[in-house]
Amino acid sequence: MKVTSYAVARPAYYDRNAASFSGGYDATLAPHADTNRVSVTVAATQKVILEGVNMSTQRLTVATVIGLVGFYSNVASTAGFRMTDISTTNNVVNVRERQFVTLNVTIYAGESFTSNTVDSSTGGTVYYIIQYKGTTFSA
Amino acid sequence: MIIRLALIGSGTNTDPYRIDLPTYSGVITNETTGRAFADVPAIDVSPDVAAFVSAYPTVDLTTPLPVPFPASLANGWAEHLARRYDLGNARWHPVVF
Repeated sequence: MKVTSYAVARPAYYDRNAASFSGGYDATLAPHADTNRVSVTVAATQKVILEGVNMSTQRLTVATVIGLVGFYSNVASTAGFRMTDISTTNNVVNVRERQFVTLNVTIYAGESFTSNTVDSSTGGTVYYIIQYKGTTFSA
Repeated sequence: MIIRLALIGSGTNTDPYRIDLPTYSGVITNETTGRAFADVPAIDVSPDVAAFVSAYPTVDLTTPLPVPFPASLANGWAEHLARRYDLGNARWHPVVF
């Protein structure tokens, strides 16, 4: 008699309708309040693995009064998690602050990956860049 | 697609300025007028909202729309997002502004 097991292992995430996604943002900004520049929200039937985030700031013109320049990325959920951030008070033109992180962060349905900028200086401009890459797949 | 939207939030760490949408990038804001440009995935925009945006193009963050964004389109867009993300009806209510 042939015995057949129905306990078949579930395919790995990358075999469950997986697709790469990527995105980014870049802009030269004057001082501003805390502002959300990027948001990626996961739909109910999916999950996301975030694999890499590359972000940098570069002062282009000198601030009259230097304040904190911040650029940070979060996973917004009930247990919010700051993945990476840059904060600087350097007022020298062309100095570049950079963060590159490879990640294996799972983002669940209803949660978001977000990235914010803030500059509390007076005057001056800063160039911000963020790029990210992840994989979406069936939950 | 690039859409000019109403900005929400107060610009603090716990309540940053943001767009009332689930997914977007490329946000450029004008806190004084309460408007922002954002790059929104086309799949997140209902066809009638896309038609409205095409009919009333915006080139800056100050000039008001010639006609207000109709409440019927706003409600339809919220329902479109609720269906697509399946995360509840009350979560997002974006307004072309």
